[in-house]
Amino acid sequence: MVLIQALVNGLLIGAVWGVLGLGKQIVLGVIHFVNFAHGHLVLLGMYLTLFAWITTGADPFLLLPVVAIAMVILAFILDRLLVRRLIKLGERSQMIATIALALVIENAALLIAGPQPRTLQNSWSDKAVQLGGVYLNAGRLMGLAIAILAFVVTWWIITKTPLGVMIRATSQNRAAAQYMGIDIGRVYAYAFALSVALAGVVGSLYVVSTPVDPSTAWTFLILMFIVPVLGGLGSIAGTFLAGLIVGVLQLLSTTYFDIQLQDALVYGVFVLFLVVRPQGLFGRAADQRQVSV
Amino acid sequence: MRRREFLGLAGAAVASTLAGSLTSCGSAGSAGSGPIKIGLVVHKTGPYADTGRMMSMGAKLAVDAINSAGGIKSLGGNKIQLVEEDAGATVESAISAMNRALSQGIIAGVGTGISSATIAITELAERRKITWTDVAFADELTDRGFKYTFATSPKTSEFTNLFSEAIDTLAQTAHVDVTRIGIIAGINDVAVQAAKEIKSTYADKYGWSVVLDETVPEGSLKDAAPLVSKIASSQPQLLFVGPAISDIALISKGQVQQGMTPVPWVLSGAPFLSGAFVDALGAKAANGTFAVAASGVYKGESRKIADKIRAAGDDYPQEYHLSTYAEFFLLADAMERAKSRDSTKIRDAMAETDMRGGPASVWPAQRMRFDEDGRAVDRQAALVQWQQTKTVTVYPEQLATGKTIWPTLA
Repeated sequence: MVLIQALVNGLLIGAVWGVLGLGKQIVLGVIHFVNFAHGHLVLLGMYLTLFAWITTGADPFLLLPVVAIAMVILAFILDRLLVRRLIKLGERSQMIATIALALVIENAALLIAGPQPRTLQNSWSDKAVQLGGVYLNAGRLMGLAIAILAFVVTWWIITKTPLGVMIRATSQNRAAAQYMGIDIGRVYAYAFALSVALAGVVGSLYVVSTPVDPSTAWTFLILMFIVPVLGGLGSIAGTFLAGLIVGVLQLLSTTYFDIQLQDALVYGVFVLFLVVRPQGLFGRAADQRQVSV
Repeated sequence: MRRREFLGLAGAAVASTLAGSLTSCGSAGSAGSGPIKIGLVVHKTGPYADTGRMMSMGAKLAVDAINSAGGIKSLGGNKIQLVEEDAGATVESAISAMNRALSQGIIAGVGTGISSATIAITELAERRKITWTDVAFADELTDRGFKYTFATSPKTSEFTNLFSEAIDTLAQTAHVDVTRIGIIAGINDVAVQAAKEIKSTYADKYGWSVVLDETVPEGSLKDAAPLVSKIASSQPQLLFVGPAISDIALISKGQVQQGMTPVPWVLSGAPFLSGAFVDALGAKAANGTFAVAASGVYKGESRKIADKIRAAGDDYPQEYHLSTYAEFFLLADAMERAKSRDSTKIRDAMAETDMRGGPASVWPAQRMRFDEDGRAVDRQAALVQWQQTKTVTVYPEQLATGKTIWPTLA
């Protein structure tokens, strides 16, 4: 029963990591933008949800579309001010500038919300559903449903819409896409907006059951790189699956080993993948990289 | 990134670190006139940021009070200037913050409130002959033979003794039979030492069986479910020591989610007596929690200081505000008596401190003196309990401001 509980809890938290990875995948695997501030955008999503809930008292899950829209607006502003300039400057500049952005977000949170951990005291986080002796946290269960929805919507956008066609074309060959009349700048802006919206979704899902303080963002730093790389750069389905695997590995670690080793198993499997299958679960070799489903 | 570029970046990083170190070696800060710079190195970011916020508030109120009363009169009425640096989330960042404070010419200082960081930065203070005082508990702080470090709190070993003894006494008085305890500790000097002493000494002494023993890096818990499963299977009646507030909140919520009555906590420090604790857990889950404190609102001026803290925006005046406030008065008093900015003279005056009442009323003995190791002579710890949204001192009896309400044991 302990094993089943760990597996179930792993899948529930893993779905959130899957969406975290999806957002990162869009920028890393598609527009090749190294964004170290992605975890801090999740933090922003957490605080937006928290303050929207404090202000309105509405169900935190109902606030999710509002948060996502706010994050999209923010993404377009960031694109204008920062991202499109950084894409031209290369990875080193992107790394330094986005670390700076992360610090700005963290210190703004510190200034506005204070250093203390804040909890969204809601009925979802205190409720649990019991199925055959296995407890399913209601908030996390709802989170799983929304995470699957986010995955399906992302997959649909990438595979079934004209925007997705443009994103995939740009991902496969930027120059050829430009020759075909695709506005690369606009594709990058939309892809970045999708990534930031997904960060907002992760923030909303995570804050329902976890306290937030300005340093929470660093929790996501390693995970946000591990999940898309493990899934395979460019692979949407692989990324979501990798999120689930990472969640299960974390919960198995904490159940059967010391809590201090909660990420050790994840890192171990990740290193193993880098050695045995560096292209990840569903990834292709570097010279064939493109968005896949 | 190419190898040459990587080496270039690495070289630049090393050069900037060296430059920082050289800058920090530049000034002793003991000479001259003008404002008297006192350092405040506290955690303003990371898992201990709330302690930094409280210490900063206490320091600013104290500096305002000292300056508006005429500054340091024996030094020509010069005012105190607060040099505040963020100790960050790690010992390394605390050392960097200390170096930044030293490079600005501080002649004394306070911080960090967290033992592991204070142990590290007082190494620098000792080398630079800067009088440093703090509320941190660790025994090691004053067991190293340092001359410039002064600790206003009891030692961790004494705190552990107090809360173990207190729980046993209070349980007996209430006819509650405590036989099974769990330990969930953070990774810091105080927590590790407290956990070790409970296992090696107090569990046997009071007939407790330690059925759960876990260590959690502060603020790192992503999902409390596995820990909650361990609590459910081992069934401790009380959980001792405690990790970070956010971790405790997750563990308490996790128990509710699995249909359990949360196991009450006996926590090893004052971070858990802040408003942030109630905010994170909710009033219902926080109710009944015990935590130890080195200072509090007792009588005399401590009540006025508490009112100032409330007026400044914090409804929960506690050890971190109060001790920091009083420690600035200790330094001001030492400088007043030293009649000099000379670091050795300030240290000698600090060693001769005997402050009664006034700001010293925040400490249980209402008095502050230091022994030859630099530890408070009249130190005493108290056990405080959250009762609804108020903190009530429940042990020892002479300090008690209310009676213990026994939380429902698991």
